[in-house]
Amino acid sequence: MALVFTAWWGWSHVFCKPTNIVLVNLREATEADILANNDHPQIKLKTVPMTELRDFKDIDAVFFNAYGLTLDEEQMAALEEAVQRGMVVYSHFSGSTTSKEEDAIYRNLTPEQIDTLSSYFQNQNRENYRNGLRYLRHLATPEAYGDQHYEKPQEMPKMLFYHREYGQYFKNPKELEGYLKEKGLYNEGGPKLALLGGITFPMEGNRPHLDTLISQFTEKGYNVYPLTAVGPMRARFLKMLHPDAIINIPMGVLGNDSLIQSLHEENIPIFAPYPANMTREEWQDKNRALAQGTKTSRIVLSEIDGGIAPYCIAQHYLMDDGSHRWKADVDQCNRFVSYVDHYMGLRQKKNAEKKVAICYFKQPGKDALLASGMEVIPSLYNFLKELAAQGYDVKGLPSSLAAFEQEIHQKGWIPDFHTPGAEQEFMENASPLWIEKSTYEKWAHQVLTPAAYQAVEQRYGQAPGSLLAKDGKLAVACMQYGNVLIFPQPRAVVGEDDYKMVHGVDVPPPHTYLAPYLYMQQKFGADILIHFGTHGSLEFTPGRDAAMRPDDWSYALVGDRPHFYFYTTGNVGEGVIAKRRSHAALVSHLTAPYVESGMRQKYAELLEQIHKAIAQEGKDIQLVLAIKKQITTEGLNRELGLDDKLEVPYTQEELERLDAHLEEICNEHMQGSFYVMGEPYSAQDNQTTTLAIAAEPLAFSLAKADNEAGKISQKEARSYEYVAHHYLNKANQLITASLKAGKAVSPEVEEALAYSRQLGESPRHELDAMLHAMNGGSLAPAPGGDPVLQPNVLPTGRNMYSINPESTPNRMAWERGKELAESTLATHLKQHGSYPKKVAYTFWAGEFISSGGATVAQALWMLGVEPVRDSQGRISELRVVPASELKRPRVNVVVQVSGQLRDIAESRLRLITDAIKMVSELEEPDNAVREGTLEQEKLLTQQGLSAKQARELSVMRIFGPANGGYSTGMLNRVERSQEWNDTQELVADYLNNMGAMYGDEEHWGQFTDGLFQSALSQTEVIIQPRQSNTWGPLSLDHVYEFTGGLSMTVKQVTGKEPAAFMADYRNVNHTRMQDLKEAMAVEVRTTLLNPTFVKERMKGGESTAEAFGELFRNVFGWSVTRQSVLDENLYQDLYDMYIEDAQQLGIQEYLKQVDPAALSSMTASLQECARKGYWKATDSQLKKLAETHASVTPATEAVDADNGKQMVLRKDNVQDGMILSPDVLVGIVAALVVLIALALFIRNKKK
Amino acid sequence: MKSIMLIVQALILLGFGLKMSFWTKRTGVTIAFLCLLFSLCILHWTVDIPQNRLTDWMGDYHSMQDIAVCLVLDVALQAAFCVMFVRRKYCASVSMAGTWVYRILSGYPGVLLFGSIFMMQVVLLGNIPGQSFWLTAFLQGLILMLVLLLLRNGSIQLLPHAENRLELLFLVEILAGILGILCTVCGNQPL
Repeated sequence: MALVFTAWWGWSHVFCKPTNIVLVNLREATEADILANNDHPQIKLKTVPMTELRDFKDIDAVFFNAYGLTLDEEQMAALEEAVQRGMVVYSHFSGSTTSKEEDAIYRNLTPEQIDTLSSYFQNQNRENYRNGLRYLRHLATPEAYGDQHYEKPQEMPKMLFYHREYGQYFKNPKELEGYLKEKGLYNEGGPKLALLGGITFPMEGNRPHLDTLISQFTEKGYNVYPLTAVGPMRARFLKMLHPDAIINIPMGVLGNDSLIQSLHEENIPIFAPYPANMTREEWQDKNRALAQGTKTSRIVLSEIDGGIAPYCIAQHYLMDDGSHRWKADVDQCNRFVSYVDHYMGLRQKKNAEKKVAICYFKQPGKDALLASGMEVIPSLYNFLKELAAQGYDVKGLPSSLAAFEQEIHQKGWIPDFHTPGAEQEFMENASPLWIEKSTYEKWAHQVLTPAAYQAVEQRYGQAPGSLLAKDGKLAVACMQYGNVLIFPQPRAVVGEDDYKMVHGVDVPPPHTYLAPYLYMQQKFGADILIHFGTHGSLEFTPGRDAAMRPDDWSYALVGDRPHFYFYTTGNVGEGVIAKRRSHAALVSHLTAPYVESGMRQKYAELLEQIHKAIAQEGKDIQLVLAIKKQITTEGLNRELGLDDKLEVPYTQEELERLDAHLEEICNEHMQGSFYVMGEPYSAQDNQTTTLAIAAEPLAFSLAKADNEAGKISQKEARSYEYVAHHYLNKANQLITASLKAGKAVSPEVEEALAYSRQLGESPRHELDAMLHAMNGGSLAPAPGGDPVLQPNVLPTGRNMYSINPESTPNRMAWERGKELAESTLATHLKQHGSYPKKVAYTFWAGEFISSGGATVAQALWMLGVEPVRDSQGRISELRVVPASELKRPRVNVVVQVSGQLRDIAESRLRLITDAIKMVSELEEPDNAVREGTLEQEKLLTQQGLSAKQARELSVMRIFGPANGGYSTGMLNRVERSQEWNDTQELVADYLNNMGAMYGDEEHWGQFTDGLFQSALSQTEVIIQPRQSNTWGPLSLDHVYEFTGGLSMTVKQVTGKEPAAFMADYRNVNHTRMQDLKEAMAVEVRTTLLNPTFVKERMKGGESTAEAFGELFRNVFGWSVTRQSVLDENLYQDLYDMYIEDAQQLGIQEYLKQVDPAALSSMTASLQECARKGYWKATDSQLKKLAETHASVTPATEAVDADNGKQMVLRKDNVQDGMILSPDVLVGIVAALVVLIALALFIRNKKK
Repeated sequence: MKSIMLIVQALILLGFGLKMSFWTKRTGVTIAFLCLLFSLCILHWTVDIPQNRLTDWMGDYHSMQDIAVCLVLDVALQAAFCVMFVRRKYCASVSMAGTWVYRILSGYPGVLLFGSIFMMQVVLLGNIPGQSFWLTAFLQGLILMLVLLLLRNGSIQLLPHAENRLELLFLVEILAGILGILCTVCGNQPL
């Protein structure tokens, strides 16, 4: 026995003792390669996560990746001990570690040994991995029995071409072509595809997705050139190859700006599929989001290159050895290859043969066609004419715009299912396309997954369903001109409680929504799909935010054809969602032009008097009183909360506030009638827009020059008011003179002239870009945003991208965010004598992108936390600013986010939650964050959560729509005002719809009853960021939806209406916090109640006119959610201006002619304001409103006057100016029935 | 109802302390220490139980009936102990079986206190936000241990005659039983 035991011990501990090598912090792909290529029976490899590396017992060698390696003190001590006993440590990318790790690494290796190991592992191929491990074994355990043999390292070229066969490398394309010809794999005359597979390549093994792509493209007739090269060598290789297109798979950007520009100039599109770091099962789980790191490195950065088609072509799976290997998703690879083939096929296909499907947007009913800042019908008509000019078949296109418009209104509308008779009218008069049930079902089964279609049937019944169906057929609104199909996007959700569904997660679109897309794919056979204008609902249908699956509607309905999207440059935040969720390539277009508001002329004299009074420090009492009289007459005092006692003069401070307020009104950038695609701004509009872009920066640069010359102080040069008074006019004059002269009158104006030129070129550029893309060409990338703030978005006609969230807040954004946070606190301290306990923020994607994350910076600074950056500027960790340094209490925050922001800045939301966790741990005085956390925990336990759950969730402060949803649901809910009687009902819905938490991975997107409510407790201030001149608190419904909704909810939760501010980032030289009421007043005064604005807008068509309706609906929305922001005279002023036409603008005639639905919406909104008690209207006013309303509202829509969106008016009541709610009417009828029944009963009894 | 439950719990605690006065010092300390350990052991479950669940239980007629059965049984056992104690002291002869029953009853501490500790811990954890759960449970157990020892020693000091303590124990248990039944009757009403 002893002999056997000794033999066994000797065998296992001496002869067969393995060499244990641990791999730490290696990239997944490298790790998998190394593991895959180890063929030595006595080398035992193990992967250990960096954080779990605690014990080096029995380990002979460690293989680190030094990049990003950080070891704590305990780990370092263990490493030191192991190194002293002789353990070998080798590090990839040495020099990336901190000195403490450097000291330990390499101590047991000679420089020659290090070089040899580097030669193995930096020349990555199968043989080198295999021999590198053997060499490492030899160094770590030279005395070990067994095979100690290893080959010398092979030197690999740093740039090479390769193909599927391992070990075959080629120095240039010719060599590869020779090889392909020899193997019979070369497609003569086939398009050339450059395939970039990884940063360092070849990974021999673990590349099935690449091999699949190579095979599939080769089968399709392409010649694939897989290559590896980095930096300048990559650019050289690509230029040498000059491919027809690039398939770019590595993480990160493809190259520098010059490479990207040259690729697009040479018309080389970049396709960007990627493998996802998730298993197949995880990918198929619709609730599982793509990790932020993958999203950034694979999608965001490739968008910056102009990459399109972000298809997920592989997932990984876990091997027994702990490594992850890629597994090609053959269906996804097929789909991607098919997409590229369709795209590249456009180069060969004649325009006359190309089939183009165009989808536009409009509300159900007879409202105008919608697109942000764009006049849709003329734009669409111009585009179609352009297609005709380029040889596309648009047979039958009406010869005039008026005829086209008439046809759209007759055939291209979708009925509102809430309006009685509308569906019938549509089916009888709109000449819809009829699709047989069997055909529809056949298409549905071909395009949709069984599970997806089953969900549709479960919700809406079997096709054709009950909507737009007749005799077993489904009606589809569309028009066809030759090879161009045009259709309105149907409503994505249908039901009695739409407001719940639009925010909701898993509500499939109805048959009516699917039908046109199925027809477009299966029958019409579109080569190209275009969505026309900002924005539709396809990209917001339920599903995950990226790495789309066949179950996702936006993925299925677009299919594998090229998808282009005309999108306003002003809304990049939502644009990127369309790119990711519907694989769209955006073609940006101009916003509406900025026009002269006329306010400076109006208030010039008053401003002059104020300046004089300020200069005299208010000593001329008569002058100040005269100013006060005029201010009070104009109602400006109410906007700033100033008194109206005419005998008490203004103080110097009040005069300065008035000065700043009036200056802002005068300088407010106001947009005129909507932009028509293909038509440059008029000379006047070009000039005013150029002034809006360039005048203020020029004024500041003139002031700076004077400061440098010693003429003015630095403070004056930086003061917005000072510069506006003293330099803005001069800047305006210089630019105007230069534009008139056609050349710069001084060197500083060159830039302004360039902007003017770019504005003029943009319309043509947009059409050319779209036509270029429709020919299989590349679309150049560009940032997006308001051209006034970011002139680099010009010329438009480019593919917009987002920013890298990992670098946010960037350094400038951090400073701006800090400044704004301090400004908020100073204002609160001044107004209330104390710091607020909690501030609620609204985060939107557009503002996040445009400000570089200043919104996040504000929240972090409120908490008293600052970012710590790594060498690349990314925020790697956070530092709590000590109380002594902060010199103020820490302020608690709660954040509500839009769905778009949630999708693009997931890691930043986690960063804020990390900051809250850190600060909540601090036991120090004046820490409102900790107090808030404790309070939240207490409230949660009271609301029925266990102590553990309450503790976990007490740090959750970030909330938003349910995961996969994008809306608060408040717009429809508020506007369907007949369905609620009390704002408490709205608050309950708001808490429900916006209560999904987004703080950490574990609870991401979960909803816990009462949590959002508890997080809102103690809120005293709410803040809405603003980074664009294209919208304001009144003109954009989302502001009342989010900020109004939040204000209303906070008021109910805390019992007190919170202070509300706008964080105004619109002027880089004048970043500030503005009271929401003041911001609203500025917008109302410069737009809705400004005759100049109305006249400008009256130059536009129906889309422009439709905006009046939206403005009035937003007035109603604010009345419901936070009426205190509206001036008390606003309703009366609106009535006078728009119903009585006190300014004699002819507004009603214009609306009746261009867009009666807008007037109907306006009158309905005012009546509803009166009915709900927000406006005390007189009987005669109500009667006049009702008459006007009746005159523009079709009989079929009388019950639901605003096309189903709101109102409870009945035609017969309207005539008498009476307003009765249906509930009251039902009650009266019921009471009558009961009385009659009672009378009959008594009568019978008597008998 | 909530007040009645609090009174019942206080009576259970008092009864437990009085019962301890019939044990040796070492046994008393051991049992009190076990209560501390019990406080720590139940933490695993109490952190996951919402306070509202307790309210739901107390508002539920059926669960209150079950609790009442336990309460009555417990009261009956303590009352039996009192009777056996008197019999053993004043009767000339007690059977062997009677002696064993007395010994068992004498050593039986009563289980209702443990239910009370459980409930108390759920309430405590939910009302002391921010504190370490473990520390809260430990302090609860420690305070309970001290209170029980104080009750034991205090009752011996104040009522040196065992008969007096026995009488008080009997009355306390009967009162707890009556109040418990009252709770059961009203068990379908929210607390």
